[in-house]
Amino acid sequence: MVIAIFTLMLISVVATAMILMAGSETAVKGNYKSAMQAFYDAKAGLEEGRGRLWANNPNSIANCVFPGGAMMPTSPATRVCYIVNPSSGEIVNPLDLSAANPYADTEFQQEWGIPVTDANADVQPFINSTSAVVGAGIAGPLFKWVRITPRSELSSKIDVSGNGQPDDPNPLFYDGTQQLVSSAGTPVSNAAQVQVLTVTALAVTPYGSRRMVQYTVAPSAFAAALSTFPSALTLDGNGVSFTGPSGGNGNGGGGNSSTFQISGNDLNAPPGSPSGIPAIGYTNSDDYSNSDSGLSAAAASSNYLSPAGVSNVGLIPPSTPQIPSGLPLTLQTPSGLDAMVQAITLNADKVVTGPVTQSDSNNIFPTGMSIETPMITVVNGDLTINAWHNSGYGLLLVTGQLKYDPDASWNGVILVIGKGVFVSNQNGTGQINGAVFVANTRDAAGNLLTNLGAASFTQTGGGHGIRYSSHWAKATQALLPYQVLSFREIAQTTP
Amino acid sequence: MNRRHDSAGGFSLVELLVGTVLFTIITGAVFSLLVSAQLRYQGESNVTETFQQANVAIDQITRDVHSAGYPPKNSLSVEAVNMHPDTYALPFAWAPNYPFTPCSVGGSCAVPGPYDLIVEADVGSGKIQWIRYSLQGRTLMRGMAPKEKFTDPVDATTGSLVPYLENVMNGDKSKAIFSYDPGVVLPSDIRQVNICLMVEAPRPDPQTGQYRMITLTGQAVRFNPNQ
Repeated sequence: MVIAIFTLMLISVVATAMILMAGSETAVKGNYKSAMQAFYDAKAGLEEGRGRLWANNPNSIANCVFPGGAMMPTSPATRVCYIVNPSSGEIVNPLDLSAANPYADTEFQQEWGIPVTDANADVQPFINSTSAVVGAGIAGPLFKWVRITPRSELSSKIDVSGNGQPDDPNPLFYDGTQQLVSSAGTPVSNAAQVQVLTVTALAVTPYGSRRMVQYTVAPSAFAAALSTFPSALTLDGNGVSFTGPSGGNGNGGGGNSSTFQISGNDLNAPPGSPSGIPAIGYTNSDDYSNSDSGLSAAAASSNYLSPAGVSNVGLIPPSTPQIPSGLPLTLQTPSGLDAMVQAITLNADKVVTGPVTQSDSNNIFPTGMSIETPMITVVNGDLTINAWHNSGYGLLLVTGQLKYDPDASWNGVILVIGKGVFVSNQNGTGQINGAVFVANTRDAAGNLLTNLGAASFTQTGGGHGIRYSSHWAKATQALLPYQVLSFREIAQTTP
Repeated sequence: MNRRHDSAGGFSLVELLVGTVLFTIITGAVFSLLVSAQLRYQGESNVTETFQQANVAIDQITRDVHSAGYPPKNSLSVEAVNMHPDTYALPFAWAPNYPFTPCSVGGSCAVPGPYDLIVEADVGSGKIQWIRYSLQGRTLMRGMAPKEKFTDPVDATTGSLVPYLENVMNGDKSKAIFSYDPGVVLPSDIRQVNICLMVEAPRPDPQTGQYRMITLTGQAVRFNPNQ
């Protein structure tokens, strides 16, 4: 009996030890899983914040971030927008900085030097998350809040200007290549800049794992680079050529030129206040003096129009502090343009591999594209638009040759970047409202060039040509969501 | 002759012997099972401990790669980049020739290589750090040193390396710890780091006497964009 009891006790002790150890291993693995979950929850919060900054997002928070369409106020400190995502029955208040609040936003003070409760923080009413799909019963990620603020040297603790003091509270702007400190919110050296924002997200899982991550974001590279188009038709590169219809610039191949026009006069300028840009822009001054380019002949033609005081065929110099309206750095090199092509492709509504033909019987453009819903179409390769009696809306990017039949019209921006060849030799009454940009960045084998090559534009048939429209240029830029400039994780300790 | 039959008289010697033998056999079997389970448990604990250590190492490498390249060059003005090249982070440092002509990943690069990786990132100190992982013998070492211009990141981090994970067998097995995106050439173009850790348990398996080994793989993605 005694032996039996002893045996049973021994077995019990060993079994208990095993259960305890197995339990502790399960807990360790659970902690790891929870930490990973918190990271991806926080990242989901960042993505919601970034996505809802986009004006075209159906749940856009642009009005919170940019009241009245203006930039984020920055003086004396900041403006703060929160997206909160409480679980059922839970209160998430990042402004409650008491030690008992696990969701307190103490990071704000680390960045701005004042508590988020300070009046200068200018916190806006909380916005609810839209990540959960209530109707489908799909719970959203477990991030608790997302904060959006302007970004400055002070908040980032980065010496952006290089003066040795990362303390400037003025908002930062991005020109597609670099960030620059503004003067009280006004870009100081280049008009083609967009404001930089910081998006911060905190996630806390039911097991208590905390992860905080941060994005630096700015409007897309496309918007940054082309916040103002340099010309209605831009031929970017070296050895570019332009050929218009016969009678247009005298070097065309015939066709009806009576209605053909390229105009830099803004279709959307207020009545009585004409404004605009050159009809045709080029970037290498040698091309103008080369009569084979067709540029000087075009300048002498009445078919190419621009506002008073603006050359109808104008040189677009590189952007410098002295010439802020010049060509942004991103658009000056094959690699810069290629990066922009990639950014656009990543956000395209439809990507098609060429060669393809768009016609009445073969639609390659995205379904749903309309005047109310302009879209992004990317054709990797050659695109022929032939006998398509319709209109396109949005951004069309072609990396090969674009052959355009002016039976069709386009409202938006056409980028021909890659092979850099725009050809049109048919008749029609179609018109491009917006802008066209042509650049040769790759050789015949598809290799990226060291320097920009000979982009060419030929429209020798008919059509109504190109009319610059600031409305369509801006509407197209708005199609691209905010891009991520940088990412970091902010170390957290359990409160 | 009277034979006395007493039903309450207890067990006979034979019954007792049979009972004792049965008890011994059953108890022996139970203890044998227990000992076997205990040995198995010790062996598994050994492996689990190894697994946990490798897991922590992969988690840390992943976090560092996530932040690689923060803050990127585009966080600064061109003037600041030119004046203070140590105030922005490339995603990955390289050797030889840093910071001049980059070497070729999988070719002329000693770092980043199959057993050596240097991440550049500000991980919260407000200063760019070189964070290095290097396999030396059977020990994966980790070290950090502040990024400084005109300084070789390998030389700068060598003195700071401390043992991070023991009994790493990748070198013995000729299996790379770090491998990179297929076709990537420049260190700055690396977007994903595939991690493979082959770690041997510190003690032999009590049952077999052999050292058991676990292989843990993961993939770390750099979130900071190309520059």
